[in-house]
Amino acid sequence: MTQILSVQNLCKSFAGEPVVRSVSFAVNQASTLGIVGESGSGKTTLVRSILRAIDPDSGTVRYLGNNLNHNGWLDLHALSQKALLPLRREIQMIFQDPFASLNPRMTVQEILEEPLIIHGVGNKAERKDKVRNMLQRVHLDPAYAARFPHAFSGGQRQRIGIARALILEPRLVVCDESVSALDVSVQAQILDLLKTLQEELGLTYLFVSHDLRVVQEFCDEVLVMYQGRVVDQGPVARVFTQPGHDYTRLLLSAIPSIDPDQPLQPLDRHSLDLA
Amino acid sequence: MSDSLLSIRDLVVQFNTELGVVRALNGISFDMPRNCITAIVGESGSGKSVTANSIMRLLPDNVDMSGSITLQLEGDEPLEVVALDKRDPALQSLRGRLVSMVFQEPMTALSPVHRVGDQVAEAVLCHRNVSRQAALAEAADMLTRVGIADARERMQKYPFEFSGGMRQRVVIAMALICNPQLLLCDEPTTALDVTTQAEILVLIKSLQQQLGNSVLFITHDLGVVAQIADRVIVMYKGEIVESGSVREVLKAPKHAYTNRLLAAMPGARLRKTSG
Repeated sequence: MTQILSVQNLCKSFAGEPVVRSVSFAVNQASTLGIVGESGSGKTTLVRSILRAIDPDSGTVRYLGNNLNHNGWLDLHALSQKALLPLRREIQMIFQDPFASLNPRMTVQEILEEPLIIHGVGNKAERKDKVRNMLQRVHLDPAYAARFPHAFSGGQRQRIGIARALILEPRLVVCDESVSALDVSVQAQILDLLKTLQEELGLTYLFVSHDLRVVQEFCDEVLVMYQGRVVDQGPVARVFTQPGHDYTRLLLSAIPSIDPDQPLQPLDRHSLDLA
Repeated sequence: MSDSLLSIRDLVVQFNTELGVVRALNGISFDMPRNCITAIVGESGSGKSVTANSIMRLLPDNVDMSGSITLQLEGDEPLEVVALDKRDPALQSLRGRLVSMVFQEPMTALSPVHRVGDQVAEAVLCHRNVSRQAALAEAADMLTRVGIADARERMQKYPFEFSGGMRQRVVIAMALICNPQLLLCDEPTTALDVTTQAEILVLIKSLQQQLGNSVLFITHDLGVVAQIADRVIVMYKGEIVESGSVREVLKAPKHAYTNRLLAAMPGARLRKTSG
């Protein structure tokens, strides 16, 4: 399998406090890498550094470009903002909160058209077509394009967020807790949609989540983060059945089983070797 | 029926909005036995929270209620909640003393500008004629009981100095300090990490066993239901579609909607594809 992203020894501190500590990993094309850990483990800082929303203190983020101007491995943090712009089309993000991530004063048409305008894609009629197609792809009625976000439910808004991320035909999509704010039934629909779109479009996902049940179902590989470090990583099937670190064991023991005969017995973190 | 703590009969709740009447509860009836944990499960908009808020009469003024909510508290005459006038003093003693509530988001449930100890002691001062000093001593005991070490010292701190899990422990201490016979928990772990969620679930269950009160626990997560509740009520679009012991309902669901909820659980879908 071909890799699309490779992160080496990434470090980031805020006010002298290390948040991401020498993280290294690689992601295969058209696969899903889950990043799990509790609040404060550094998940979001890590993905924001990859998107260059944050500049890391040290380490490299390399991305395999495949277009005329950008071919081969590129060091994302060595590029100027101008050189980076065309690559931003290829790396997109789906946010957690579908209520906070859509501008309430823009219609769905404007929200979805904006990235196309920024990247100079098509004329007005072509853009309108693209928006219609994209809405259909995420199973929303194209007639909704004239409405504002307040007219939609949480699940529908998350579909709009997905449409916005995918309209530029990205290759790598970062999902930061993208289904955490949704209830289980809507969550299942959105996960199914993301899976279908991955198969149709060959997308690669970086999937940040604190819900191990979702990661187990949705991801191919997983990275377990604890206090800014990667403490366990590998194929989901291995990490969930043969955890390589006490912190993974702690996380697994905290999953509430749907079977009332398997009572919840979370491990005591003070009795574990988490260092 | 006399051994039920709570009996709800034909409860209809409708909101009179500018756009017309919206019916949130469509004539629900159920009994809640004493000394056990009953869960209400369902998706967003199914009427779970409206049910809990009705019991404490926390709904806004544009709401019409009919039917009955009868609380049969130990050593008291049956209390008819729906019939109470908004200004009836019985309502003040109901809220916080006889029935109390733990909300989803601990940061919004706590005042950011008051010390934690004062907030917990306030419930005592509102409902009982004791000195401030005695109320603070009780608050310290209760905070210790919900697992906050060095409570005397940490009572002096403000909510922002606490983690999410610790804040939820404070909210639980506030809710339990007047020893209510009924504790309403509205998605108390939804905003928490999986590890913190497990700790809070274990805490609520063990406190219920120690105190012998009853808990009505609202959630959309059937894994949480399986782990915390004795009985479960499944709601869909303002109606109860199924209820019974947790084992009966989760292991042999009778209603198609319960089956759909079970199928939406991330782990359940994995088992389906691999087996």
